Amino acid sequence: MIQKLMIVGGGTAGWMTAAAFCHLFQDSALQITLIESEAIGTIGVGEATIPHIRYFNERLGISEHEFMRATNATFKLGIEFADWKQIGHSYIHPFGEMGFPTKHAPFYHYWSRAKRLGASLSADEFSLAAQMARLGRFTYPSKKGSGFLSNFSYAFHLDASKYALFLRGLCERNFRNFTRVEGKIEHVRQDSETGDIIGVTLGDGLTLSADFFIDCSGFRSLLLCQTLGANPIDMSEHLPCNSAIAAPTDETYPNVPYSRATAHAAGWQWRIPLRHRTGNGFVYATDFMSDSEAEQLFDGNLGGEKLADLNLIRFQARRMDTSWRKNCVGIGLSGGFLEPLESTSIHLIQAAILKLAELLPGHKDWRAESEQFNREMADLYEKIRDFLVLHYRVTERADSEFWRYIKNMRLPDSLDQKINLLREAGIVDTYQHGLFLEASWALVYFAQGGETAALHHRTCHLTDRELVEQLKNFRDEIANNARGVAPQSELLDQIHEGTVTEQWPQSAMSLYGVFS
Amino acid sequence: MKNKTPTIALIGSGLQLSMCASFLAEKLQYLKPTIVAIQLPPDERESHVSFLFPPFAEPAIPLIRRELSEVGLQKITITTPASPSGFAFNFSPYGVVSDAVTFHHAYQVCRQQEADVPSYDSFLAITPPPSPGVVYLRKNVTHEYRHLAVRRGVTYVPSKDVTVVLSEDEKKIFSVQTSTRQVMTADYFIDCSLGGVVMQHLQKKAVLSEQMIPSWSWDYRFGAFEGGPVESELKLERMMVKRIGRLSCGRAEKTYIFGSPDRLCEYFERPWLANCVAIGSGFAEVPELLVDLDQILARQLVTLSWLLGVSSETTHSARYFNMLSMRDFGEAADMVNLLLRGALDQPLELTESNRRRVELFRSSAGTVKENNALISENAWTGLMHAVGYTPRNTNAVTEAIDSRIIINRTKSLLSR
Ligand SMILES: Cc1cc2nc3c(=O)[nH]c(=O)nc-3n(C[C@H](O)[C@H](O)[C@H](O)COP(=O)(O)OP(=O)(O)OC[C@H]3O[C@@H](n4cnc5c(N)ncnc54)[C@H](O)[C@@H]3O)c2cc1C
Repeated sequence: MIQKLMIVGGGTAGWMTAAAFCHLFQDSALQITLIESEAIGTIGVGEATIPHIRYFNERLGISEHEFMRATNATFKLGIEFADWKQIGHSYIHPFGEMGFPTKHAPFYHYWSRAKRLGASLSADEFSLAAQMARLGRFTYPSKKGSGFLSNFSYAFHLDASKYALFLRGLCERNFRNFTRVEGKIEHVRQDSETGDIIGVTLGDGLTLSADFFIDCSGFRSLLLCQTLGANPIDMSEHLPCNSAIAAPTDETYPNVPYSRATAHAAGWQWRIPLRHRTGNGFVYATDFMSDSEAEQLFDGNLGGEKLADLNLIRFQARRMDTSWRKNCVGIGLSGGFLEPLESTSIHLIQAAILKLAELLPGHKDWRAESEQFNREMADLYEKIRDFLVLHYRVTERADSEFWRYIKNMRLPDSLDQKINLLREAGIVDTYQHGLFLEASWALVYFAQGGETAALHHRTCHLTDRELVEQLKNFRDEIANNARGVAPQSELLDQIHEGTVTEQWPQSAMSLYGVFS
Repeated sequence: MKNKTPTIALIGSGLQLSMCASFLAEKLQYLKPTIVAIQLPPDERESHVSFLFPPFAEPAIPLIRRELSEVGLQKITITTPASPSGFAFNFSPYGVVSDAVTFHHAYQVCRQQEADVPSYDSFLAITPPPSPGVVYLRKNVTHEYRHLAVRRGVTYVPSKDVTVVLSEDEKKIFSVQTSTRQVMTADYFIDCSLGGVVMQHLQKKAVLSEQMIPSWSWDYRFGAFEGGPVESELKLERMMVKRIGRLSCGRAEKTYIFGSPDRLCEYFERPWLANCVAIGSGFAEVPELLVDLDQILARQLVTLSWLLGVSSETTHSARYFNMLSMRDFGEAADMVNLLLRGALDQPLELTESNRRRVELFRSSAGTVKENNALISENAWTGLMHAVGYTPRNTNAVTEAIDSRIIINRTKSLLSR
C-alpha cells in the first residue's frame, strides 16, 4: 500500500484531486502533500461546468448551497451556440434529453421527420432546460416521473480560483495527514534503476519524497511528460484552435442560466455569467487569425469593463499517450487538453480522479491497472474530441479560410462513421461509458443543420398531420411550463443569502459519468 | 413521403428463422415489406433446450419470456475443478457495500482477512435478479414465433436446400432458388441458416485460433423428467463440458467434447456484406455454454430493425452492424475462452481482451469496462471466481477503510 501521495500543482485539478483523496482516505495513515507555486500561478480560466460536477461534490459530502456561495456560482442549464450553423442562427444545447422516447423510437426521429415535412420546429424547443434558459428561469428537475419536467439536469458557472480555495479548506480542516507546501519544484528525483519518481526538490532546497505522484502541474506536465517522457498525441489536425485570450468583465447577467459560445471567423468566444462578474474568452487558431486581430475582435464584443489584463494562453489539442506512467498519473491539463467548447476539462479531471480511485491497487505493481486507466482515458478523450469536432463540421459556414479548412479536413474515422451513420440511417451510434449521450449527439447534429436521408418508418404509427400537430402541442406545453417557472435570480438570491433550505435532487449519475 | 417497400428473403430454419420473421414483420410493419421465409430442414439443435439471461435484447425476446414466465431461471450452476461443488452464476449484480467500495473489492477483503467466508456465489442467492433468465425448449417456442410471423404476413416456403445465384460481378446475391425451383430475388437476403449457406458464397469464414477455443463435437440427449426445480447446470471436467437443462417436460443434456475436430469457432468478419446479412447461427459458430446464439441473433435483429429500409445507401449501416455483431461475438467467445482455460486439461491461450480482464482481476480484483457490453462486469467477476482465479489484493481505497467495517457490511448482506 502506498504511504505517501504527492500532488504536484494547486490549480483546479490539484485541489479536486486532493479533496477527493483526502475524503476517500480519511481514516487511513496515507500522507497527502500538495505542492503549489504562487510564482507560477494557475491557468486562471475554467469556469463553466457540466452536471457531473454535482456527483463529484455529492460524493465528497459537499453541500450544494455552501459550494455555490463559496464560488459565486450561478446555474447552468446548457450552452447557447450562436453563429455556428450560420451567422445569425442560435440554439441551446441543454443538459438532458430532447423530448422523450416513445415505445417506438427516440424523440429525434419524430423531430427529424417533422422537419422534413416542413414544420418549423427547432430541436431545442423540446427541452424544458433550453426553454427555461432562454427565458432566464430556473427550477430543479422534478424528482418524480420520467417526462420533460424531470429529464434534464443542471451544472454551474463558478469562480475556479474560489472553488480551489473552497476545496483547500476542506482538505486542511478535515484531513489530519494533509500538508500543503508552497514552493517551486526545481528538480525531480528518480530511482536510477526503475526510473520511478522518488521525490522533488524545491527552489529553497527543501526535498520531499513520496511513493506515488499525481501530476497536476498544468500544461508543463512536469512529472508525466518532462520527467517520465509521456508523449503528447497531437489532435490539432482536427481541432486547430491553439490560443485563447481571456478577461473578466464587471457586468452581471442575473437571469442568464447558460453559457454562450459565439462562433467567429477563426474560432469562437465564450461568455460565462457568474454571480459577481462575467468570464469572457476568445478561442482562435493562429494559422487563421493573428493575436492582434483576435484582441480587437474580442474587445469589440465585450459587454462590460475589463476587471483584469488580458490573459493570453497558448495550447494544443492533445492527450498523453499514457496518462499513468510508472508511479505517476497526470490529471488535468498535464494529462491533456481539449478546447472548452463543451466545458469538458473539469469533467476530465473528475473522471480521472474517480477512475484512479477505483483502480489504484493496494500494492505497488500497477501494470494492469495503469493499462486499463490509460485505455479508458484515451477512449474518453477521443469521444469528447469527436463531439467537439462535430460542432465545427456540421455547419453551413464556409465564410473564412478557417471554416473552409474544417469543411475539407479529413475527419477521425470514428467521427466520420458516426456522421455518416446519422446521414444514412438517421441513428446515433451510442455508448455506455463516456460523455455525451444519444440526445446530445442528435441535438447538436440536427440543430446545426445536419441532414439525414433516412425517414424512420418506426414513427409512422402517426400520420404526417398527427405528427406535426402533436409535436406543436408538445412544444407549447413545454413553453407554458417554462413560463410558469420563476426567474433564476430569485432562487440565486435566496441561496446566496442563505434563506432557502437545500432541496436539490440527487445527481443521477453513475460512477463513470453516465446518466443512470 | 414514402420509403421504398423492401423485399426480404430470410433463409434458415427453426427458432432463429421464426424469431427473425416475426420480429422483422412487426418492426418493419410501416414499411409494408414483403417477407418470405425459406425454411430449410430442421437443424438437430432445434430439439435442444436453451437458456437466456438478462440483459435481454428488447424487444426481440419478450415472447420467449412471456411464454415461459413460469420457469424463471435464477442461476446456472457451474462445476469446474476450482468449484467442484458447483458455483451459482447469473448476470445480475451482487450488492452494494458502500459508496466507495464495490462488492468485488469488499469480498476480496473478506477472503484475505477471514477464515470462514461464504463463497462468492452465496451472495447471488440473496440478490435474485429482478428479471430472471429463462430456459426453454426451442421447438415449443419456434411454434409460437412462427404462428406470429404468419399472422403478420410472412410467407413460409419449405425447401430442402437453396441454390445461390450471384450477381454478374459476384459481389452480391442475385437470387436464391429453392429445391422446388422457386426463384427469389430480394433487396435483402437475411441468412440465419446453420453455417450461413447463403453468405458463404460472398465471403470465407474466419476461424478463432484453436489455442483459444479448441475444436469440438457435441452429443445431445433428452430424457424423462427426473423431478425437482427448473435448473441449469454447466459441468466442466478434463476435455468435456456438459450443459444440463431441467424443465418440467424433461431433462436435456448437451455434451461438448473439446479437442475433437468436428466444429470450429468460426464467424463471418463482415456479417453484413452487400445485400446479404448473416445473423445468429448464420453468422457464427461458438460453443453455447453461457451465451446462446439466440441471444446474439436477438441483438442483431434489434439493430437491423433500425437500419433496414430507411435509406437506399447502406455502407455505414453495414459497418455499424458489423461492429456491433463482432463485439457481441467477441464477448461470447471470450466467455467460452475464459471458462475453458480455467477448466480444461489442455493449456489454452487467453484472448487479448481476456488477458486484460484476468490481469486486472488477479492484481486488485478490478473489472474492465466495455462499451455496450453483452455481458455485465459482475458476470465476468462471477466467472473469474467460478474458474478459480484469485485476486492478489484489492484496491487502495478499500484497503484504507477499516476491514472490520467492510467485513461486517458484506456479511450483513447475507442476513438481510
Ligand atoms: C482557454 C481555456 C478555457 C477553459 N475553460 C474551461 C471551462 O469553461 N470549463 C472547464 O471545465 N475547463 C476549462 N478549461 C480547462 C481548465 O481551466 C483546467 O482544466 C483547470 O483549470 C485545471 O487546470 P490544472 O489544475 O490542470 O492546471 P493549472 O491551473 O495550470 O495549475 C497548475 C498548478 O501547478 C503548479 N505548478 C506548475 N509547475 C510547478 C512547479 N515547478 N512547482 C510547483 N508548482 C508548479 C502551478 O503553480 C499550479 O498551481 C479551460 C482551459 C483553457 C486553456
